[in-house]
Amino acid sequence: MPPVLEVRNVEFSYPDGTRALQSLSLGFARGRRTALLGRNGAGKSTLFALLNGIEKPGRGEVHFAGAPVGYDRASLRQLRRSVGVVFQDPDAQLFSASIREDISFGPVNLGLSRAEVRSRVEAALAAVGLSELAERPTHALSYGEKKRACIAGVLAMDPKVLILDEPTAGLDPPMAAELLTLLDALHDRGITVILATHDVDFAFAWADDICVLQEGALAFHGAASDYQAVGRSFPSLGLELPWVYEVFAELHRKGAVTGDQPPRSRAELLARLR
Amino acid sequence: MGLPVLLDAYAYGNRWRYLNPAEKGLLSGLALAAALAARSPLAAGVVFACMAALTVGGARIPLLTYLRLLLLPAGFLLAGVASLVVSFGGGDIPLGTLPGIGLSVFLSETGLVQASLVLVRSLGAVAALYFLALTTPMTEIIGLLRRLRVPALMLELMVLAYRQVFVFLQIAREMRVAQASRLGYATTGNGFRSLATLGANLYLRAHHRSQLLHRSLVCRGYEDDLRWLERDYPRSTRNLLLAAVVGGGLLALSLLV
Repeated sequence: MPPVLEVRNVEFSYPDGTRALQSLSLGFARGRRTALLGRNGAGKSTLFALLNGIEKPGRGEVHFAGAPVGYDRASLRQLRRSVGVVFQDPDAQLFSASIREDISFGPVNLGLSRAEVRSRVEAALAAVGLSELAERPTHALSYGEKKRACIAGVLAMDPKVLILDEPTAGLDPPMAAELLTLLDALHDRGITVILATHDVDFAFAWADDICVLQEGALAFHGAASDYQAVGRSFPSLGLELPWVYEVFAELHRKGAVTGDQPPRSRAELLARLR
Repeated sequence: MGLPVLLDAYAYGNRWRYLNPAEKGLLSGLALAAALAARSPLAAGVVFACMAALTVGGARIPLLTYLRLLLLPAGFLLAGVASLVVSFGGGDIPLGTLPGIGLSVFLSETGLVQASLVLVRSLGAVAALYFLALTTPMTEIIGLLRRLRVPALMLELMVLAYRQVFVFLQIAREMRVAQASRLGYATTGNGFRSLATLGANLYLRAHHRSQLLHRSLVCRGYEDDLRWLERDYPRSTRNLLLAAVVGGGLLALSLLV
């Protein structure tokens, strides 16, 4: 199956000469959860900007659903309807003091009828669990609630692909856990979810696929469950392995755990102790 | 709590929050016209008393909060009317002579009459506007203005500015705490320097943020104009009539008395 969203040999440099991406080729498979790891400045945000058509690659192509993306108004509208981006700072995304108005922004831009916009706004509010708080002004919401309002604003456009830039940054553990439950629910609805994170443990616990960007190039791309490949690549990339993998490997050597496939989470590891 | 935050908190949490903003807007607009048209302090005083009573008694804004909110415009007003009342070199009632420069100070009788009218009229106008500001969230006032065919560009600016006020209050507060924790306000000199860098940084942050906001709006299909769905309000003919009668009554009073 062809990837739903793909970059092929893209190069991108900022006007000041910084080379953000160099001959990057990377495809995101439909319906998969992908975590994108990489240090600050590795090119994650630039890649997201390309995937949504905000930036245009200097060389190479962006493909959506198998066809190259065009940069005229109609094509961009089509792309942005299908690929939603949730930015890191909710205060830089929410433009209105009324979250209902803010969430209605995307659907209104799609040219939907009033009734359709209204039902999409209510459905998006319900999906992120904000229906009860919708009457409150944006500035009276907590950071985590604002984050969910941002996600609702993108969900209301009914995207095929949802991209999130460091969604767990700034969230306390319970809020982060809630967010993950939400992302899994969206994934179950068939949405392809791509997120950038610095948290290796979280990436492996949540994602189907792991990508690592380093200095604008793809350094690793594989299944999170492919223990062998991850174990081979990560140390040479200077990346830490997820702690469950490391602890499991040690216990496995000592014969203290069942099975050969490493666990994904703390709970799974505990369950497999002999 | 700062004034904008206080006003805002009550706009979202008063007894008349969910009334149709058109009804509240009509009353506020008519009362404002009445205050500005008033020819006697009595008529303007009635406008003030009426709007203050509705805000405190009707919408249940606590009296002390309301008085605190009135202090700010009252301060400006007193400073303004002082210039109408006091004159130098000649006038009706001599007050005395300024020591050193030998300038005599007088009170003006016509000035006193003028000043009292200006003062009560202004307070009436403030009460009329406070009524709307304290009972109706800004987003709903903007929705009302849209229905009144105010140009979209102005409304967009209002929506963005209103949201950003709170974003920047937050940032400014955080920067101030960060500066204070490193003794940025320990002396007057430090204080001025800190305040200056805070202002400069806030400007840079504002610029950066506007770019981020633009980018995120583009992602959601922003092309040329900022559009959103207005909410629907319950309509009440009775309330609209009441607003028209009370507001119209005040306007008639101020034109006649």
